[in-house]
Amino acid sequence: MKLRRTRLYIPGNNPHLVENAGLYGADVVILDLEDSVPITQKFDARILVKYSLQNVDFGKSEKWVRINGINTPYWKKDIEEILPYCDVINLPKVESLDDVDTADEEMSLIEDENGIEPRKLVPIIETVRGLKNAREIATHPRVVALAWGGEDLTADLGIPRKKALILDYVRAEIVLAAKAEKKQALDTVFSDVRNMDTLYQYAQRARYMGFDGIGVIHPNQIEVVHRAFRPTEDEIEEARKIIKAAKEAEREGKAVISLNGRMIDPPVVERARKILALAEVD
Amino acid sequence: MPINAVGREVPSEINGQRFKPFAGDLKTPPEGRRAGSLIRMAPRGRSKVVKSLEEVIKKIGLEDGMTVSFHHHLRNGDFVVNMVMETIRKIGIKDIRVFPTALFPVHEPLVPMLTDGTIRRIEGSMNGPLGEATSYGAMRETAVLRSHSGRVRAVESGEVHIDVAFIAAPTADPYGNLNGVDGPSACGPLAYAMVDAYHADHTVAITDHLVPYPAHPISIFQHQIDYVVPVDKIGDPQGIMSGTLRITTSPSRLKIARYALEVIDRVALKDGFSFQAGAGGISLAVTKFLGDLMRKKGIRASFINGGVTKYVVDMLHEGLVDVVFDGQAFDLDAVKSLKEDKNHIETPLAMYGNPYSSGGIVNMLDVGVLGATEVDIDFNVNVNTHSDGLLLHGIGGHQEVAAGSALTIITVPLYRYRVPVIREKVTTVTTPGEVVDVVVTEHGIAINPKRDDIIEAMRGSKVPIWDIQDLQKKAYQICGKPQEPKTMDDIIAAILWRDGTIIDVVYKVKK
Repeated sequence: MKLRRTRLYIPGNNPHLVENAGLYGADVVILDLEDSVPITQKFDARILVKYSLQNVDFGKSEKWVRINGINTPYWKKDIEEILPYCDVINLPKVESLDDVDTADEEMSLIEDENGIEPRKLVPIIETVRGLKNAREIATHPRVVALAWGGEDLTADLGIPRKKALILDYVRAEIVLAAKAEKKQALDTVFSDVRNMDTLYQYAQRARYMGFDGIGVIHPNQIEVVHRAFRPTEDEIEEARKIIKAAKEAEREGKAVISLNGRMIDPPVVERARKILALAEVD
Repeated sequence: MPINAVGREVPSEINGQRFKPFAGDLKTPPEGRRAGSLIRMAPRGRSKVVKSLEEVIKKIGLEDGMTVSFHHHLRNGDFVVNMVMETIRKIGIKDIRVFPTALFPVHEPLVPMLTDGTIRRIEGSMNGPLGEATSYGAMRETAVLRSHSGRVRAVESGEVHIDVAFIAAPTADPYGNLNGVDGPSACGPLAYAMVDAYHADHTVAITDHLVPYPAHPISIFQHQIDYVVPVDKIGDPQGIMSGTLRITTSPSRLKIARYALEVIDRVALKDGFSFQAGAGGISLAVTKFLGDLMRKKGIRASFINGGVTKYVVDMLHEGLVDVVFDGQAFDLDAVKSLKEDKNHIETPLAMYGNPYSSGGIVNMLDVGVLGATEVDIDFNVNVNTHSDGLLLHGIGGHQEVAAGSALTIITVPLYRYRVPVIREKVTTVTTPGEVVDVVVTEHGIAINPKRDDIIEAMRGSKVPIWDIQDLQKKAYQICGKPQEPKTMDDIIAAILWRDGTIIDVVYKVKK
């Protein structure tokens, strides 16, 4: 599965930030056409993003575009213009499987017209209704991950974001909805660009909650988040022992894998593989 | 005009004085004997304290056409240059050759003196308005720019003879012992002024902190100082000291610093190594990251040559480095450390890097990390002019650090304000590609092909390695091909290599 530990948001109306976005090693670069672009610049930003996707070197970063939501007059044109040049459409304010179907239909149309491979979709859950339907949304074959947005969701709930007590539940629901479908779960952005220690704790907490990555808004955050998502030495050591035991069991034709007298189930072996794969990155 | 070793057409004569074309680093051997100054005497009982600048200038007998020197240890907070030159103007002395180490935006009041007959030319670094005015043709004769050590060489060799050295002294006693570590205008070392104190025919210390005899510590000694002039203020502390300089938060600059660090780590980092520190945004980040890496790896440096800042001082006091050589202090931590720590050593500029001496500190440097306004595909570096042709910066110690260091790294963004920094040809050659080893940008690095050892050491690194021509093409691809500066045929400045040969000239810019 593709690594998506960091998703670097870049305002789609800022050429200077767009042209350097690929330099910093984010797993994902999201060129944003939605909230960071004022209504008066929607057209210009779309053109800038379209040409940047074709001409700027984004390195190893996966190229996402956060288009405008399907409740706006911009989203269809966004898809029409940029879909052939990006890897993933990031669709905000998704509330139901119908919303994904609507976007999917338009994407399929453009893909057919251009003769290109199907692009992926990552919905952003940021309303109570969207949260309620998250498990269904995650079932769509085009969806590869679920992301969520705290600001709009708490506003929808009518509670202040900083005092919201429900967010751990929201996070758990997003993770469960995504993982039940073997999709990735992506935590929301950490917006304090000065406080790297807190960012590290935030990212590590996201990892242990079951998320595969978080959103970042500044390139300096990337290295910290990647460090937080790197397995600890103890975890790596344990995973090595498990894989070794699994290989030995296979070689000896044993049906049961055991380590230090403890039985090891297949999901544990799978987790060990993931840990070792993650440890080898960077 | 002859073509020099970097392919630039240069004159044989500047302001009536003969100069050789640049032939390659240290390819032009020195000749002759060191120059001397007027022998003076100071009988017991004669006071050196003079009440005003006007009085001291008259006492000395400064005349039309003479050379006066200044030093930039008060940087953009300096009051002394303006004060002295205004006095000279008022007295009506004309055709002065001004010989500063460097001038800053604060010295803009000298601009009208370029045209009113007071100043015939400036031989020294001009950062900002004076350089700009010179670029547009305001100076009657041709400016001559030398590196810090090249300036020392010029004085010692007699290429420039100083009639009067005016030395800003943060602390002085009535008999001319000076230091820079005490007083309201403390700046740290007085390293730049030392050669002038020794070689000028007349020397004047100007101070706002007159202390009883003997002042101590002593940076410049009484037997070299003829007069002491007390004034209210020699400078503005805000402009002299930078405050604690902060590491850049720009992600692209931090990327450059991290790539530079990786090169240092793979090529030069070992116990007892040495490096040149600076106060620019990227240099500061490299110094900080290098300290972190040394701590992690348990490595100790033998010395840091600076450009001293809090980051360098912290490394000294933590035991990460044995000695700090200090030619210039940038913050109060550096000043305090220079005063209190015997391992923090004030170094005369002659010791720093004069190529025609018995060996400078730069010859012992393992790593030098330097900036640039432009770099070209032959690794030539420009630090003097912008791509519009305007002369806006001095050379500083760029040439000697690049030439002396075993590993010379140039850190630059690929482009600034959509103008390529990596180009086919630099507007002005300050430092030749033959002494540049690695160019580091936010997109990756380019290694000088003649450095096989560095190419080998970087094998397997995750830092992207480019052919410098591809880096240049990348810059042009993003920004387009840069326009040529709109210049005329008149030469407004000569850029000397550290050995006194002409490496390039700067042309007048059309307004």
